[in-house]
Amino acid sequence: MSVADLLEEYGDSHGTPVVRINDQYVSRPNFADTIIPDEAELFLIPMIAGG
Amino acid sequence: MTDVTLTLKKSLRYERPAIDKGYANQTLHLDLAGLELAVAPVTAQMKDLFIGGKGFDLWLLWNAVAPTTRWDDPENALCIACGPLGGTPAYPGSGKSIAATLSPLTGAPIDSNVGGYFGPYLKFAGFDALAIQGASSEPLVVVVDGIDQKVEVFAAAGLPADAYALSDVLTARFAQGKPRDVSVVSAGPGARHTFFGCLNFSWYDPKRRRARYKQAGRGGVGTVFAHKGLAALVARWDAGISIDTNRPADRERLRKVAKQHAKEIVELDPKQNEMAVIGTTHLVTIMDDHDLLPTHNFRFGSHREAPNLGQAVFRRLFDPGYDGCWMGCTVACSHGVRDFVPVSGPYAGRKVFVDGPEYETIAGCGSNLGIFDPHTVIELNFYCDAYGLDTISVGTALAFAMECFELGLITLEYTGGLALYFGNRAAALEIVHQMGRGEGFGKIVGQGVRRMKALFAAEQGADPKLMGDIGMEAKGLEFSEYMTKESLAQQGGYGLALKGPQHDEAWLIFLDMVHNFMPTFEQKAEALHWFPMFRTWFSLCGLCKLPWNDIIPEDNKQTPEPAKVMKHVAWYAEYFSSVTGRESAPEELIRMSEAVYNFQRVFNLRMGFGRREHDSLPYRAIGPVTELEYESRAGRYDQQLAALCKLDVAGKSTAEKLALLRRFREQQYETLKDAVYQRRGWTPDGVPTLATVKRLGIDFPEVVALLAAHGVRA
Ligand code: SF4
Repeated sequence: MSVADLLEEYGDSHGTPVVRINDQYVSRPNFADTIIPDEAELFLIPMIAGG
Repeated sequence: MTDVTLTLKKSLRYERPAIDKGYANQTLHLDLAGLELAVAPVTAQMKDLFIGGKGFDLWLLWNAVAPTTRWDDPENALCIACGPLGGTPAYPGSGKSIAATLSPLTGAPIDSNVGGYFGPYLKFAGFDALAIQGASSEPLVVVVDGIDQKVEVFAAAGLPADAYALSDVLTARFAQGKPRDVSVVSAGPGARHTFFGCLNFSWYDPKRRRARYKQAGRGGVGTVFAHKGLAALVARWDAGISIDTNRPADRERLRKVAKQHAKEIVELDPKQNEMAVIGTTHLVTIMDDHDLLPTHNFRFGSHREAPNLGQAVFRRLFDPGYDGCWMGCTVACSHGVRDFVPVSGPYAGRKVFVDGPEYETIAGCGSNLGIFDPHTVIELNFYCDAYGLDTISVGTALAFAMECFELGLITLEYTGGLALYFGNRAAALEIVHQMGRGEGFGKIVGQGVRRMKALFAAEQGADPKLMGDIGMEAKGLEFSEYMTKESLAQQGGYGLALKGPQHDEAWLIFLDMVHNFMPTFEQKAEALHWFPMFRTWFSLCGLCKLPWNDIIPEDNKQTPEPAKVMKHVAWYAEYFSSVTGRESAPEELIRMSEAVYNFQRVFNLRMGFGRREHDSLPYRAIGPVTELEYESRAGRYDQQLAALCKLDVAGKSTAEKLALLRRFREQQYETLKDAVYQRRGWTPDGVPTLATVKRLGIDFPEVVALLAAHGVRA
């Protein structure tokens, strides 16, 4: 399952810009191409700040 | 090493006042010319209107200088203040100092918010702010000793030049066996030779048994420090600080809100950005993925080698352990690299500890220079700090010089034989060493982008218009490290920032581009009102802004205004009320900042800046300058021309499309200015109206006269 699939299933109406899979950061442009490995921990990163 | 000699030149014994509700209620003034020391009371008006920190700095600076004062005049003051909440160990991010002065880069007031222990120690020693005027021909060390209740000024001989060695020597000298009781402020040799010198503020790391550093980087505060003949400032205070040291108005209320915030960070940081492990380095790949990471002098926003500089690498390079730049900060994001061995310069072949790098340094001294090797970035970081140079200005200024070299605007002979191609790591290091020594082409780069543009035009016949488009400075200050081409709101965040393009006023890129929280001009203007105001408030109080919105509550997205993280804003209002006893709702925090913010705008006006024309941007901040840039993202730009400008792009040359896009985008930026000025209560020329200064209580006679002189009347 890709990150994009999972977020669609989860109903991510807030447009999460970044997720972290274990200690790997993945940004929205790469959600469709990134497959979530089994047993991975996935965190939604809000990215309101940055600077 | 030569022996260090400190000869006492002047001393002042004083009775330390009891801290009351976060204030020492007095300020310390030092004139280096006659070595005069004086203590002045903090008035009720100062606290009401200017709150503390940056507010106090600006007020002291305003009273010290005249409209004709330049940065290197003796009357220019270097001011350092903490703030009423600063020095609270229980609340995350509560140990900041704010340094302010007239900037050598901009000519206007500059302020820099920095960690380390100096500001809180200064306050607990008895002074809410320190203002230093005059200049000395011999190097001086000023010691504010709160334990022994004395201020001493020493003439120094034999001190090491670089900031690291100097802070170590002075920490050992004044610690009396307790190095944590001492914080040192120093610049470095590069601060003297350039216009963007930084200040290093130390804090002692008991686990690693070494002095650590944070930098007040922007605008040349270190250059002013060095020009005044200061070698170092030292503050000494008993490090056994507790929640009671600020004598808060309501201890229990403070304890409760502090615990809430600290606990939330401990719980949520591991699930969010892991700042306690990787600092701000996660931003590198995220910015790269969103085409926002400056590469090759802000030409492009991404590069295939960017992951070499990302968090996955720094996760391995950072020395594990607690890295809070103030006691008890649970974000603890101030990481460093242990046992790093530089390959160049005076420390070549020796093991050193490097404080940093943070995202800005990685982007400025890495990707923006076409350098994607983390060890070179760490070495540049190390030497910039040791020499007292702002890593952001170094990166942005050198990136400009590199592009000028690649475009043939300056010659190999002019650079002293340094082939300044993007990616030339050895040349980048050499330029920084030259800045440290005050030699060669490095000394020219050290004058900053604005002066380089004038020099290259005069001495190399370089095209001023092209340099105007690609020289990434505004108001004279080099851009910090975010690409703004695709975010109109962030163009405003940089262009309308009072001190120049630094992101600490407003960081709106993701809210604008990714979350699309502000599609209309009015919404952007509202954001460009609220965010700079709230961010200003942290510097009034002696706080770090990171705990506010870098780690956010899990239910934040269900709130009506998620971008503002209002739950935390309410906690900050509670924090302020509990320490100062001045009952404050969240709106009141914004009003406090508004007074100081508008005062700073008026201050700019007084110094000959602060109007619409001074809020302009180089075109590269707004859109693609060259055909190469356009063509690299042709799909995006073609689509915008078609959708937003209703233009048929078929058959048009790249040059034609570039010109059309430019006209459209520059117009958008001007429209944004109008909307923001209106929202802030300013005239269409960007000057606060009389009604605005009256509403905020800053309608002092001199302010009113100044506005009148600029045609602003009732
Ligand atoms: S959040 Fe980071 S920079 Fe801010 S006070 Fe804490 S450790 Fe220092």
